[in-house]
Amino acid sequence: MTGQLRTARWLAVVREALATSWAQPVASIVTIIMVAGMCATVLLTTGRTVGAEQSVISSIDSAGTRSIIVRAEPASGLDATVLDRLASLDGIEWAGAFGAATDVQNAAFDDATRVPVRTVWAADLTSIGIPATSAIENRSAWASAAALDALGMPDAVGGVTAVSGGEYAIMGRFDVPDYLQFLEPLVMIPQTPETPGPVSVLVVIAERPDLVAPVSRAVQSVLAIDDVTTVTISTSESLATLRGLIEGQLGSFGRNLVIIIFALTAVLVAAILYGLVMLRRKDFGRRRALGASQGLIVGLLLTQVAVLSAIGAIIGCAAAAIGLAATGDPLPGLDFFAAVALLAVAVGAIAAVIPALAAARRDPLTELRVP
Amino acid sequence: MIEARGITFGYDRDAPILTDWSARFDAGEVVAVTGPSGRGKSTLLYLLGLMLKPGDGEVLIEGDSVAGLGDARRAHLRASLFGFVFQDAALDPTRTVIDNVVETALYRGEPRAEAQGRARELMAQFGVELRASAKPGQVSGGQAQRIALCRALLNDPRILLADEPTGNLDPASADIVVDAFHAQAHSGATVIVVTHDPALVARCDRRIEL
Repeated sequence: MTGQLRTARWLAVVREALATSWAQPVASIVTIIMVAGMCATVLLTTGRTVGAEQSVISSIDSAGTRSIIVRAEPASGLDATVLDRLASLDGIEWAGAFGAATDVQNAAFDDATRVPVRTVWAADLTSIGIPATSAIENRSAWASAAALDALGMPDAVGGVTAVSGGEYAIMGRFDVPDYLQFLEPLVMIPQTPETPGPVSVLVVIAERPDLVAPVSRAVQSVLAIDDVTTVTISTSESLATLRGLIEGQLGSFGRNLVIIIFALTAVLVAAILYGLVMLRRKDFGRRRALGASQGLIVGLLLTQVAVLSAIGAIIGCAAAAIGLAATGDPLPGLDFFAAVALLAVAVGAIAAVIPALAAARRDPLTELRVP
Repeated sequence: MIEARGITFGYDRDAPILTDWSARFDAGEVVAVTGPSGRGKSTLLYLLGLMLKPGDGEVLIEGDSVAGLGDARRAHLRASLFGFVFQDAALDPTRTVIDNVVETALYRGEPRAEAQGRARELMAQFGVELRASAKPGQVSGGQAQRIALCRALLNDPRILLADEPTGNLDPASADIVVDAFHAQAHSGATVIVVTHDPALVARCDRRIEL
């Protein structure tokens, strides 16, 4: 059979499955309601849990679950070359070294509000909105919205004067990521690796929360300082552990619930379909007698149930989304909705396998004699 | 031509309905199979129609045994070589008349549009063309059997099997059905009819008593 013929045959089977579904509205509606109910139940229980979990995790992540902060006294001797040593470590998403804070003020006013400024070294400053190279070496500064507000520079244009001397041009605004919020208000003077200077704060972001502890130990080992009492390391390790617990326990609860709901519904769908097959046994007997192969009967029933399940899944997902939105509960992601819908279609089709095989094995002679 | 050669069949192994039974049905003839109830007339028809497999013996079509064929091949032969007429028409009550007539096209892999054109010609020939959009429950018993006849003749079958086709029909409708059998036989088909109807037996070319 050529590909074109096979496609035509497949389309004919789909068309027949649709026509059969349309011709049996009660059976079709019952199947759709079952699958819609299954999807809605999963989404309103597990989906609500997943939504809450994602919301809690998001809150924890925004508090800097993965951050490791090293505060170094001037006597520690920690300098920006530590970034070269950190570059050789695995499990680090971002690292930045900050010099000691000195005050700057708007150069246009004599008695303006003072804002802390720090030199900064980082392999990747572009991720926080600062260009990799500055137009004026060591004289360009970037400020956060809070700092610009304090400096009286809403347009991020102007100059600042350091209390200790020296002037800097404000080149623009950058968005302070969650893990640097503790430095706010922040004005940064990007430095090149060729001019390493003393570091008072080192911020390292681990790739995952579970890597915070090992990365923290690795960072400690590459600080290259003589007196460990001159540095303090604070991590979000306990927060990361809590995050892992929440994710694990809620995730496990959700998965178990999904399995139970899908299994129960699959049994119900299978039972209903088996009942419908029994009611339609004369139909299947006639089809077999007239030339439908067992494979075609199975294909017809599975296609029919898959189509009805897809309709039910769409209705169930839409109803659950409306329900969750109406009650103000957090919605699980689109991927969760898609996964539930796909799983529902798969469950419907799998549940139909046994009834379909039963239908395909009906004896035409016996069935055609059913009054 | 279809032949049963030494076939034995029974739903209960210890009490076979047919034992070492042989017969040959040639092209161009209308053969009546008669006998008391329970002798296996319908069973014989379903064995010849490849819906049942004999315990022993074999069925040959045009001299070739079908004993070794799998379900898909047997189903394809049923859809392409055979035509079936059942006692109660056996139409799908949930589908329209035209859908019922073209049902076997799906099983043969024939495009529906082509089958519909031929179906309308047959329905016009048997006077049921105006009922194409009706459901089987909306037509009379005679019309239902003529619709079933259209379905059976849609593929111009080489072997036409009928199980009590006139059992529920008035004489006029029965005549239409029997005329159609003879027309199909004259075109080279083999027609085998299981019946208790003496009038139908009288119009057949040959009779086999079970």
